[in-house]
Amino acid sequence: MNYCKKCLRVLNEGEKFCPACGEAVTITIENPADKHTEPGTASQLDELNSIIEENKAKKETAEAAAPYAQPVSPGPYSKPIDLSTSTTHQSPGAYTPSQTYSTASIPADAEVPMSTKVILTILSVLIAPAGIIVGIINMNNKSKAYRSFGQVMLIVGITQMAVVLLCCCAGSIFSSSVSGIFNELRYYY
Amino acid sequence: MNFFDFFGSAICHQIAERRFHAGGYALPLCARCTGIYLAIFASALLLFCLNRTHGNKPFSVFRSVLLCAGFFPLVIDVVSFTLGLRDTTNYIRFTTGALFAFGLPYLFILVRNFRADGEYERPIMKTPAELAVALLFCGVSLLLIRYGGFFGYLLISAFSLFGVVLLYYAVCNLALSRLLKKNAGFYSFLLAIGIICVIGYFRTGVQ
Repeated sequence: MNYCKKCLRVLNEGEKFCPACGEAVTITIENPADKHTEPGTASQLDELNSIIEENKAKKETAEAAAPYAQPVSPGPYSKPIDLSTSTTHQSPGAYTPSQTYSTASIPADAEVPMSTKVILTILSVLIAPAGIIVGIINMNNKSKAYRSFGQVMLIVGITQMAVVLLCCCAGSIFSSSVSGIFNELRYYY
Repeated sequence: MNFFDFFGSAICHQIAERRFHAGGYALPLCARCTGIYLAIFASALLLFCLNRTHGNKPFSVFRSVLLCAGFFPLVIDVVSFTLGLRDTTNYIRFTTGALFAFGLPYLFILVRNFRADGEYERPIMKTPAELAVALLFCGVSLLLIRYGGFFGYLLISAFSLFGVVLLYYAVCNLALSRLLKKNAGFYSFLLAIGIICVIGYFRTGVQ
């Protein structure tokens, strides 16, 4: 049904201009549920309200016919939006303080790549403190494989520290018994 | 050679000018080793008194760095002295040794009790301030060496040699527990004492 936007006269089908005032026809209500048409006049609103009432009655009739139907849960945006109050949005994967630094990204069943094992083992052998720290970090991981590997790194690092301590003893033994590269070692340690 | 010197020879070169003297007696270990094994003893005693010897919870990154940071002063001291860049003293050796070793018992307990497929919620270190207690113990020990006389000699010798036994025990226990797949505390202790006696006998025999 077409209406003249200026004088509200009912127009016939196919008329592009209002025969009374000559206004170009721009308002067309083709679908009653379509709310994208321009807000119009009182008659238009009355017609829309009647359509809404009609739909509401249909809905009540349907609910009366199926009283035990599963209720539809309200969606996340069903609540009215209040822009006057500030709200914080938190996604399901957001950081919380209880999460640890190393377990966020690696799944529990992850395996340690061979390249990582080789590199970190070399690091642990060359620089014992670095190996110990990286080992403890891996021991905090969710993955059992990473935890086991971290423990191995820690063992390697601690063994290296013990060897450093025992080198003092070894140096003293060798310096007492044989001459050579160990002869002066005890004076440095 | 007395009992203390015999046990000390299992781990230390015992060079005369590197040793502290208390009450007219030379301590059984050199200054650096005295610091190392006193710190090990102090940390182990602290963990025992706080009932943390069964802890198995891995440390945070900050605490791990704190435990390992003490390694570097010793490395710097040894390397700079070896290269002839600077001279060092027995007090510096003692201090760097204590800083080097005060975290070792924490690491040994963690690696001994941790199971990758089990629960690990019992803490070993509840607050980093605990570490200061072990270092304070070493500071007091240094005063005891300086002013304690013969009593200081006895006490510090006993503490430091107990630290030696603890280190050997920890290494043996770590190895035996892995090999035997069970806690081998008693056998580890026997093995540690045996190794110390063999090395001591070997060294005293050589000298």
